[in-house]
Amino acid sequence: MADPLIHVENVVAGYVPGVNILNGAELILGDGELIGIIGPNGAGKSTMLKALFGLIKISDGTVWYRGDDVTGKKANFLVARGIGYVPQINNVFPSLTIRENLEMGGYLRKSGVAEMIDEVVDIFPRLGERIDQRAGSLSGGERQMLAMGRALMMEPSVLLLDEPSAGLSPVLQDQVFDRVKQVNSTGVSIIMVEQNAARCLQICDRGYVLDQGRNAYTGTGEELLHDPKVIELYLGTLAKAR
Amino acid sequence: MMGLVPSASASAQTEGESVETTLLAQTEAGGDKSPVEGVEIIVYDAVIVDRQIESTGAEVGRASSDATGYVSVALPAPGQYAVELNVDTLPAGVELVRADKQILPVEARIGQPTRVLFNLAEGDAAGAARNKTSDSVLTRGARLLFEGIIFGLIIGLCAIGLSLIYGTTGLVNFALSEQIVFGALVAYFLNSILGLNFIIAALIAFVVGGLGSAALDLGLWRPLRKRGTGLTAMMIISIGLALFLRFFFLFLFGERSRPYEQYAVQTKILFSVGPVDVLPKELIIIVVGLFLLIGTAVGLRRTKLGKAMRAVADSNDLAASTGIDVDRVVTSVWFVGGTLVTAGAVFFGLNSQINWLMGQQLLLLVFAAVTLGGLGTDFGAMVGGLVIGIFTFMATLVVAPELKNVGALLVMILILMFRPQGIFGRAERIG
Amino acid sequence: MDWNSIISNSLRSGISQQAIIFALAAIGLNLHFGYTGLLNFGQVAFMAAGAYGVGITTNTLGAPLWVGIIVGMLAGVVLGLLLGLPTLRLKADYLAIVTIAVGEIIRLVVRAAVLSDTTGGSNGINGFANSFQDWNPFNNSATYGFRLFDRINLEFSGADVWELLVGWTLVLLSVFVVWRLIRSPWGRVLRSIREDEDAATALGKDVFRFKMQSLILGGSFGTLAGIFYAVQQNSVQPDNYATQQTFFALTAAILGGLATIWGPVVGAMLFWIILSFTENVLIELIDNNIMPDSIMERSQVGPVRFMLVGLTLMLLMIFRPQGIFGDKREIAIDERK
Ligand SMILES: Nc1ncnc2c1ncn2[C@@H]1O[C@H](COP(=O)(O)OP(=O)(O)O)[C@@H](O)[C@H]1O
Ligand SMILES: [Mg+2]
Repeated sequence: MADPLIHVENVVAGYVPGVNILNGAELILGDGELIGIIGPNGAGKSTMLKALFGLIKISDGTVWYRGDDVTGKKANFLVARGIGYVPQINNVFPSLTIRENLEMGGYLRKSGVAEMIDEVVDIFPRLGERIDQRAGSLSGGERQMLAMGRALMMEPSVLLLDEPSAGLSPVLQDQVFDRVKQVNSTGVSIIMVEQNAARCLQICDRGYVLDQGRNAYTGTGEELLHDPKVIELYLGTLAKAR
Repeated sequence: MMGLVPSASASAQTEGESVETTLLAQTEAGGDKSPVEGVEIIVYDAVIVDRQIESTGAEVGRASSDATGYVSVALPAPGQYAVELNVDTLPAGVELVRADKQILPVEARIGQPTRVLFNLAEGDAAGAARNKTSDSVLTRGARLLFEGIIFGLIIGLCAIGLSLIYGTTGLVNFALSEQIVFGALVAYFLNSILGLNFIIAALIAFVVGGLGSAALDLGLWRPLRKRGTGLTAMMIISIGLALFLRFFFLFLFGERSRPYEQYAVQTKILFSVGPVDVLPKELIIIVVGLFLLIGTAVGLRRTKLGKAMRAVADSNDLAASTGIDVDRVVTSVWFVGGTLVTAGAVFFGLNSQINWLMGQQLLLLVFAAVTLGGLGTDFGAMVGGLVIGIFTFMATLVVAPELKNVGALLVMILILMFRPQGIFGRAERIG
Repeated sequence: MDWNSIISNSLRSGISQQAIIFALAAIGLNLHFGYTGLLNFGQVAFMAAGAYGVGITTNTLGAPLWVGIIVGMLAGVVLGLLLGLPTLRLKADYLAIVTIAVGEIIRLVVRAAVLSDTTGGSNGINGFANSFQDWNPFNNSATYGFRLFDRINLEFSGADVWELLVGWTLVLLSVFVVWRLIRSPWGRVLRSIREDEDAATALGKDVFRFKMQSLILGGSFGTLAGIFYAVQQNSVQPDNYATQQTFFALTAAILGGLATIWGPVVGAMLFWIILSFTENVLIELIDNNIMPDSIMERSQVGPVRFMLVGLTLMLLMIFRPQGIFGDKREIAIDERK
């Protein structure tokens, strides 16, 4: 079998020495897949993305990318190798204009920055209207779009999204999920962390349920969505009502 | 008992230094002057910065004027002194025209008398003499405005340096004061000791100042960041560094103020704008200063590195996740900041003189400028610098020159009370 | 090398009037920074308030010394209120900068010639505390104390003994006050503010009021230091109240250990022992021509010992921020942001 795009193997990591947040987390991302990570608050979902993106120290386990061991590599190395990351909060540069934010997304590009900005603006037309305004003046939904657009500037093979729908109105949430699906359909593989678990599982190929830094359940989006245990523990009454 | 303030110390005893003056009082407005006898002059050790007395030490000697009004006090060595006219010994009716000129700074020359001048007048004549100084208030205002702009550019250069570093690292860098002294000393060494042309010396100093600053980042601040040292701890470390360097510079350079060569005595007026005479050195400061300030602002907005610096200032983590090598950008910021600070320092030295206290003297005003403009904004620091510079000089129209910094510091405190983000700072929307 | 005199000078410095002044100032800084997490970089402003409070009241206004001392203490309290109102709600950086600025404003104002009728300008105020020596029960022409092992001179004049006795009594009283307060519920609130201001607010504590009380009380120890300095020297000199005094006192506090009861006192003693030892050794080296003039002259000894202070502060903060007695977990320096 060909190597998966990303393989997180038994990773142990945390923020301060001696306090592990991830205790042997696992994850596999195949080429072209859209997978979701769900789980209760504080389960370590964001920490998982940060560990795999080289923002925090991994004390045990391995991260594989296209068959190479990239454990402990710095973020700017992974960006150059084709991984894009959109953090959960503070995900735009507020004092830079929208155009400058996108330019920063293409920081490592040798050429084609202007063309790529045009492409991103095609996907997110709203950004084009305000291209020379400061990102600090954008609304929450617009910031999500900008953050995603910025991550696309490097034409990544993999996009890591940390709760892209958090804090948005239902209408805007729908828009975000549509865009994620759209980006995925252009061939970008995506790992998405979501609070809105039910909605996430609906569009994901596969899902992981994370609890206390460990994988609790794994399956296709449909399976998890209908697994009584998962419904009971993680999807809550909202999902049952559906 | 050990003194807490290092006092001026006389090293080699040289023959013939003295301070002298002839005390003459104007008897009627526009009329003749007559000698004043029996008035006492007292001389103290002093530290003089920017033609102002920074601190005074022990008494060196005193003497009273003779029948011709002449008085002389012998000095132990060349150097800096403060000369006070004891107003209690003035004969009835005779007064100082300017009460704030009772103590005068003196830089005593080697082996010869140094003259000072006290402006005395009798009764009505004193009033008239005072009016003479006050009816030229417009002229004085114009001159002060001009000097204020120059000083403002100097403060602004240092303020941008401080602000860039604060913006990208969060560090309130107290050692900036000694980066100022370092830059000024490098230029002094190249210019006055190696004898290089001042312009060349200044340009080399800009680069050396930048490299020194970058070296501090590589050797000290970056390792501390890697260890996870907190920002408060780093601020205190910068204070320790400042103390260490300050007294190291005193050790090397001594207490005396010194001018740069070539421009030291250059007082030939280049041209005049109304009542304002422009000296060549002032023109240099304005042209190069503006060039550097505007160049920095444009560079931060137009170049890739400049944009990366602003991105890092907004968020280190986010910048890293777009592929920016944050460490390298931060070191570049230290370089640029160090260069700008050195430019401010060299111009300050050019405008007055350099000495080991100049950094400390400027630092609080730089803080005031940065606070006024809003921490972390380059444009704000620039405007803040100009406002503080102009304000300190114009303030001397109404307060004694020795109090001119007080106003600027008070303004800073008021701004913090009513608009903590500064005039140009923005409270960002989060989320 | 005269080791006997080096050692006795160093020991004498460790218990000298200067050590007392630094101990008092450092006790205050410890309350501010060590226990409350307040970054007061203007302790010297409190010292100046006390010193000039006494000087102006007794000399310029002609009141008796004890009235001057009371006025001096009140001046410190008023300064604390003025300083705290605009700054205690701001970020820590701003408190630091404003307190430094206020210290400098006070120094510039009191040394201004236009105010010399009141403050003495750059000459300061002299000879206002003669009655302090009038109260001296010891004989000024006798010497007290002993020679350790017949070599180390620990003998003091009557005037010195009187000053040291009063000074160290003040230090002990101050330590006692801090010790009682820190063990009280009030002290626990201060520490909770240091650990997490928001959590303290959430528990219903009026954080601003506690910070203000801490600022004023800690400032009062600084005020006391200034008053003692002025009375003991019988003189107030504006340039003794320069910004760096605060940093020297802070170094002493950190050296001993922040957030400990005895840290600031031991730190201040050690600070002066080290300073005096360095000075005396260097002077001996120079005078005995062991250190050539090309490397160092006598006039350069002063700068070298203050370089040492800066270096000590740096190295302490990098390698041992808890100082000699402190507990690393109690040092409020790594929590910010
Ligand atoms: N910067 C940090 N420093 C220390 N602990 C953190 C940090 N960020 C998160 N944590 C802790 O890590 C755990 C997991 O957090 P996170 O991964 O953000 O959870 P999730 O994204 O699943 O809600 C939580 O207990 C949280 O308190
Ligand atoms: Mg999260």
